[in-house]
Amino acid sequence: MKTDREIWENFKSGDKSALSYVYFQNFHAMFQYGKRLKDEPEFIKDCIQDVFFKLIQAGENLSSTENIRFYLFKALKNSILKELEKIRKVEVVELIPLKFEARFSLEEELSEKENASNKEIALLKALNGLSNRQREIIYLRFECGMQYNQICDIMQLKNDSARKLVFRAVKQLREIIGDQLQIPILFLIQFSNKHVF
Amino acid sequence: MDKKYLKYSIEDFTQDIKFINWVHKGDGHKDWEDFINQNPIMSKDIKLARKIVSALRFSPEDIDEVDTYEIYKNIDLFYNICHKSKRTVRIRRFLRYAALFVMIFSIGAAIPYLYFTHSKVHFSEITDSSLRIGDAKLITASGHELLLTNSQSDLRFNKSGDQLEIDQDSIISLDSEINQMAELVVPYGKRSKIQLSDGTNVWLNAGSSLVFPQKFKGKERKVFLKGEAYFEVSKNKDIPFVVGADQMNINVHGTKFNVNNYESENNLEVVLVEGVVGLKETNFLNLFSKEIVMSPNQKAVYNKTDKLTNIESNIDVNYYTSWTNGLLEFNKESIITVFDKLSRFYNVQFITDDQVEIYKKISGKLDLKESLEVVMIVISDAAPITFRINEEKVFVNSKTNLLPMR
Repeated sequence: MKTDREIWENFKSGDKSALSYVYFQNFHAMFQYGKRLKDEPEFIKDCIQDVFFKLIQAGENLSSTENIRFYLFKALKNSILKELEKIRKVEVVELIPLKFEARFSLEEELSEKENASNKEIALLKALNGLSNRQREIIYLRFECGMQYNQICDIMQLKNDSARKLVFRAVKQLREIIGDQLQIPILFLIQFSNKHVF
Repeated sequence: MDKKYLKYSIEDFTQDIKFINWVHKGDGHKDWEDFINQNPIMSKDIKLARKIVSALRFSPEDIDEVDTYEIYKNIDLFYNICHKSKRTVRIRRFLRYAALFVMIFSIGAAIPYLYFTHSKVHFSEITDSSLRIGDAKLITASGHELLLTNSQSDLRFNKSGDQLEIDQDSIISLDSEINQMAELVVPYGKRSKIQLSDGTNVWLNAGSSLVFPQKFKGKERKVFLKGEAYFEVSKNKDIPFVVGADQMNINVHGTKFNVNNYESENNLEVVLVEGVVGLKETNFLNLFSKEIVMSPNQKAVYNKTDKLTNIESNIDVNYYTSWTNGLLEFNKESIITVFDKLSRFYNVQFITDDQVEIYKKISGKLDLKESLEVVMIVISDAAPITFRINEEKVFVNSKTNLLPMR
């Protein structure tokens, strides 16, 4: 198994198999992340393509990295911001800050449930109350397995504030879920291959 | 199992990547079960932590596999273009050596021919497509490509030509002993200023390329230009400065002037601001063609097809050089010419209807630091047109029906 660093060096030197490896290993994850930042699939696809164009062009001038996915997420976010800024200039609209607006699966399920218990309603309320920022950190940490310092880098947060924000979210949920354990476990624990990137 | 988990709180577990992977994907399931069996006291906390992690899942977004491959196809194509252009540079460099050998072995008859092809050999493949994409770049004498990511880059060589300062921050050491030429390529939508090792300043406009030696050697200082550039040549009586522009050499004697030599245009245009320059055709009758000497505030237009030069006096030189300050001036020019210039500056394509070009000529000044949208609004104020910008295309239509009949 090659390390990310080695694969990245091959990528930089213009190795085509490294290019296709990096692309197919990361395209889905980049799309998943990008679409949650800006819910316009075609736009996100363009941005991803653009990221790869720029990386190919830069070649040996790219800096090295120990974590390719982190590098690509950061590049994608920059690309999205840049493209939105271009659109803003052309259409003369206010810049809408990027918001991670995705909803949790459980949030969707509970909001559609008709005869929800008091506890479920409390849980839904707590989930609804999580900020976009908390959602983004949880996404990057839980779904993508990123380090907190990388998350802070991508989201331009101060050191350790990502960890604190997750801690706060978890604590709130703990109080509700921990209270007598009434939630049906069935739909909480889902093993789904779809989540595996 | 790591001993550290014995001290973990619920919050710690929920943030541990190994733990999350167990909850999400079932990774290391047996290890975790063993851990709970060995430490039953942890069982309650772990159960709760599992529930919290499970509550914080996102449902996956759908994407069509076809898209994944479609986008890869584009990326693959782009990869091929990038790597192909590098290859042509190498081939062209080889050709230059080949030309050298031919010259040595068959001196007499070959000279006029070699001289004629001389300027063509130096340029790397500057096709329309390579000028349309990406950043400006400097190809050094040793063949390395430096990408210039700013839209207006500022380069400066030191006197010995072995150090290059980029955008007044980074300094790069170069090998100046190589006798290859270096090349600065500025694609559409970009501009660049470069100070050569002799102190000459050159402003390169969008869609242009300058080939020059990192260190000047020999009896003349010769550079080659495609596209448009403004030169402020440092004085040196003993070593004349020569700009090769396709079929014309511009011989300079310490001076400021603008050269417009886009391939898409049939005219080569030289505007002299200060000093003296002489123009000389570089065809194989070179030795016999006479030099046309220009004086300040003159404009020479050389027609590439009929090979005739026309000199215009008392022109407003600011009009031709204002682009170096990010301004575009035009004076009684057809709107199509204006669009042509804008398309290079903003790297967009103009699509006009037949009626647009019949309008009388327009005059004015545009600030190219403004967005294309703003610039187009200014033009549509002055001329009876409507426009729509769609990504890299600008559609321009005439407001014919609003005009009184002539």
